[in-house]
Amino acid sequence: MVALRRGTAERRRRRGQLALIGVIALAATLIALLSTYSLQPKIAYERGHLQAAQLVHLARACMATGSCNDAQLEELVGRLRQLNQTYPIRMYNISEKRVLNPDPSGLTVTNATVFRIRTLQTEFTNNLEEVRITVTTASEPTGRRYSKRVGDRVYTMVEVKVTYTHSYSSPFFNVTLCPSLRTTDGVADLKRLGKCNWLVGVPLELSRTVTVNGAQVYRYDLRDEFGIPVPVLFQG
Amino acid sequence: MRHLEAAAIGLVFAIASAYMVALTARQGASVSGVGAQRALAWALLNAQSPENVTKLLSIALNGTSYEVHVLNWGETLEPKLPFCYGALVVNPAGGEENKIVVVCAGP
Repeated sequence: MVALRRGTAERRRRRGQLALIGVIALAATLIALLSTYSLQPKIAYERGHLQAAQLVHLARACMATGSCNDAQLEELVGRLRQLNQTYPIRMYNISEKRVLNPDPSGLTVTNATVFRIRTLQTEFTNNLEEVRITVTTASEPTGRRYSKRVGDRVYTMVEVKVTYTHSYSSPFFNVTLCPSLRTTDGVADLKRLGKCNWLVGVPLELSRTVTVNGAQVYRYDLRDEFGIPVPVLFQG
Repeated sequence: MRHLEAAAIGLVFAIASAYMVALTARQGASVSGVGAQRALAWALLNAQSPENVTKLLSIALNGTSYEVHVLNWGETLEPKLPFCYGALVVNPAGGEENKIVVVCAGP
């Protein structure tokens, strides 16, 4: 009787083990089948940062000509549109572009370029989004003058504190840069005081007079690291 | 019987691990693609000439699998890696106008 019960229990255990092996074998087969299945993901290329940076880059290239206007900007955007069809630039639709060069306020010169683009967000809100590039040069003469000899010539140097910034705002990033400055004639003296602050010795003899808000001031141009002219203004 | 069970469990574990590794590698491709896009954006914001843009790109993408192409207008792009992002680089001061810098990334 006891032997009969033991035999039945043994058979049940074996059946359970066989069932377990069956489950494991089935799971292994399913996972093996799954691993051979090749994924065909739909790739969505990330857009935003690069496209906004591209517009900043074009605006700076336009400003570097020294006389950026709407026509020049349109020409650059036209080139971009052409290349957009051949290369993976994936530029947004640019609905508007404007060059803003308002009259200097005092001794501060601000140049701005604004692009209005149709992003994915625009599809939902119907509002165009803005990429704005603002380049500001604020000059503040210290009142100090000194002489400097370069070769045979002696120049009267006017010391001016200059604050020079690039601000880029877009739906994807807000960045402020303090580009480095350089002279084009090797006469001006340049010293970086802080991130965006410079002490500039400007040769009076190489400066030209311009009219700002009805007043005559001197203007001397430096260049930044992107090739953009940096107008330093001061009174005679 | 117990050896058979252990072998079956081991087989399941090995196949599952291989599947996970393959899946992770495929996911990695999209991550490096995003990295390439932002790296090129960062390089464009901080440089104007094609040489400096590519220099900054190599700094930003150090340690990842990528390739950079500097093309002239009309030149054909033949990438080896699948995810490519391009930009028009205009350098009016340097005389090297209209270069197209393309960065491609992938697994």
